Amino acid sequence: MEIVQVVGLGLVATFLVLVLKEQKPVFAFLLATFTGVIIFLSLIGKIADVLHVLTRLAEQARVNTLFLETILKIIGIAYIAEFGAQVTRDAGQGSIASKIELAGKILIMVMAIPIITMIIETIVQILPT
Amino acid sequence: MFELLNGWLKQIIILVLLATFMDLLLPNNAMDRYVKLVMGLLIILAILSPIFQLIRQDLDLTSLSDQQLEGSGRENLSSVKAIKQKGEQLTETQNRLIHEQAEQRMAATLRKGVEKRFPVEVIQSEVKTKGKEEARIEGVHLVVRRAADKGGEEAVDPVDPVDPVDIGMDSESRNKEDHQKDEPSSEQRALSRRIVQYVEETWKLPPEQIKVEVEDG
Repeated sequence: MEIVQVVGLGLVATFLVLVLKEQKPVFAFLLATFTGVIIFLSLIGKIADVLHVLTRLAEQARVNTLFLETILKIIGIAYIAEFGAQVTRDAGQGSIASKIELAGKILIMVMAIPIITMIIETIVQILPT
Repeated sequence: MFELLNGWLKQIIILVLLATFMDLLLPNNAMDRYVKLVMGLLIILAILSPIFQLIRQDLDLTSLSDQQLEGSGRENLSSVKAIKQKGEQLTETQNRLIHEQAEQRMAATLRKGVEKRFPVEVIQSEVKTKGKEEARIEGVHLVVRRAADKGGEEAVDPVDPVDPVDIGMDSESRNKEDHQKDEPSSEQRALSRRIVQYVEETWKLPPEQIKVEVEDG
């Protein structure tokens, strides 16, 4: 989907939400979420292209697959958590949004744990006992 | 070496590029610090990866020893020479000890065999060997005295009367000299010949390598 289409979809959805908000706020919220999901899904194809390029580059350079995997997972977690948090915040539930963000942060930190242990073990092994 | 460095640098560069790219891609500031921390850790890991390989392959010991050899080469080389010399000396002494041990064992078995077979007391038994890897018996030397009291009295008894017969044959003074140095008259000579024969048969030696001296009891 090109940028004009995305912007158009966004504008139309915004008007519709503004109209709906007077009558049924719940449906307005649903419409906003749906629009967000549609835009997100329409971008998935492009993201896949980018990821393919990145993976091929990394394989050519013989980057450890662990690194690439971790990076991609981090990107995914960050995006999804951000999306959910924004949607819930739009609905006026700031506390739930912050919880979703917390979950995203914790999951990212959990990804980092094996890396941290590896580095610390290496340093301990290097140091003379 | 160059390939290793090449791969390592490629890995780091691509990781840094990815990290910056991701930094751009990331949504608003909430996740920023965390993602940056993890990316930093990943880059540190990539930088440390050669050390991981070193540790995993246990190469550090060999490389360290190589470095030592290169660093203080002369001393270590001389010490290696000295160690080799010492090792040679040790093997030589070991061989010598083995030979001595073998000689002693053979002498003991010879002594036992002779004492068992003949009514004599073996005063001295020597076996000499020659050669390094495969030792061969060079010579056997036995000094034997006729046993007075032991079990082989049958042989001893007939010997005694022979002496007076010899003495009677010649003048006494001469006979005394003969007694002192070369008494082996017929009996002793026969005894020594028998012992030689026995040793020859049992040990499969040529007779010129066997020396048997018979002393007077």
